[in-house]
Amino acid sequence: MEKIRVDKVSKNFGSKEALKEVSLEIEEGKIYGLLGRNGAGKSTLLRIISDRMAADSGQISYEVNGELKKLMSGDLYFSEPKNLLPESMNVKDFCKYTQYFYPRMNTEETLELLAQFRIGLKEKAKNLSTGNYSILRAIVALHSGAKFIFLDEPTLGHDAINRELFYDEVLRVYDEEKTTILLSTHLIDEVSHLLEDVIFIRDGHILLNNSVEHLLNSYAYLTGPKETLASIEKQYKVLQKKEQLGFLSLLVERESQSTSLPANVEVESLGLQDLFIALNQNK
Amino acid sequence: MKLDTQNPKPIYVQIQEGLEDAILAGNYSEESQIPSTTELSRLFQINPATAGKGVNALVDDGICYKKRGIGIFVKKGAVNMLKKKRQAAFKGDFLLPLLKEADRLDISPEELISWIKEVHHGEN
Repeated sequence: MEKIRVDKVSKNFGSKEALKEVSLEIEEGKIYGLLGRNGAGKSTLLRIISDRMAADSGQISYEVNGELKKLMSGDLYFSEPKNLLPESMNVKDFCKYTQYFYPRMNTEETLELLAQFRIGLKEKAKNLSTGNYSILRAIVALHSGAKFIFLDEPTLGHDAINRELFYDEVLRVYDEEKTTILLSTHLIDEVSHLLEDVIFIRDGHILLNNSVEHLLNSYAYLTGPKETLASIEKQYKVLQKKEQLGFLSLLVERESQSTSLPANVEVESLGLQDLFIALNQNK
Repeated sequence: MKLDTQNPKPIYVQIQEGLEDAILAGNYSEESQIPSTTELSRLFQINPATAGKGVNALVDDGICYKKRGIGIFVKKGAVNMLKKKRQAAFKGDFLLPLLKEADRLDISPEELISWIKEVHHGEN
């Protein structure tokens, strides 16, 4: 079992606290979603884990079967929207250059796939459209041969067809290479069915960190007449309260699904997107 | 088989029910192989663990069985088992909602029965 452990990592930019004592673990063999609004601290966290930025305090460690190891550069690939390589480089060189740092990378396959996405190998990075540039970096990342692949806003500017192709590729690599893939995004509906585990981040804090299945089982909407809900409201931790057409709808955290409810109260499950919105609206 | 991502029903349950429907319809006959977790995961763009959970539910229910290293197969007698299972759930899934709506619309159970006979005759 390999895992990356983040332990009480904090980071300030001037007076802005970007990360506040963030702790979490990223285990091998899962597809993670790092979900948060713009400016929540997603990119800062990933930059610190991948050693592109230093934390003010806290630690990042890498464990293999309980033993501390050094994370080598070929082990982790972090792809972020910001350019890493010189803009004058063409697509083919971009791939070759990447292979220096990621010896397990399959350059031939990468180039073939890029052609499928209709990206010219001789084109310069700076001349690619936003969509094609993000395909380039996503494809290179997925074929880097790294054990941990972090993709920051991987579908930025993708059209519908490329988005499909991209998610196909994520699942293929995950399945065949047993890679750990972390997708950092604010487009939750798009990725929710791909994910096994989710990390919700808000204002530099980790709000929730659990399996999608557990999270979706732990929350539900209760809808019914106001008086009825008022009488049972106190039994729950309420995340969101909405009045709609004379009915009250509560998003609640519930320990078990079997607790009996008044007959006129309806229980409805929710999606990750609903939970995300509720968590971000909460004080 | 289709997945409805807007449906609050968990995806793995939709996978399980979709495969059950296909077995009932004879698309996967008894002793034939059903799609693998990988195929389902790629086709519907869902996490392989989710697809696996749907497939395993069929194995746990005794509808399918695993052949080591080959894949998942439909058990002999699966169609009958599924019919029994669906029959047991029929009341709750179809009859109660039907009666609830009929009651709301002041349609008596007697009237409903005569309608069912009428429609059934018309179709045959």
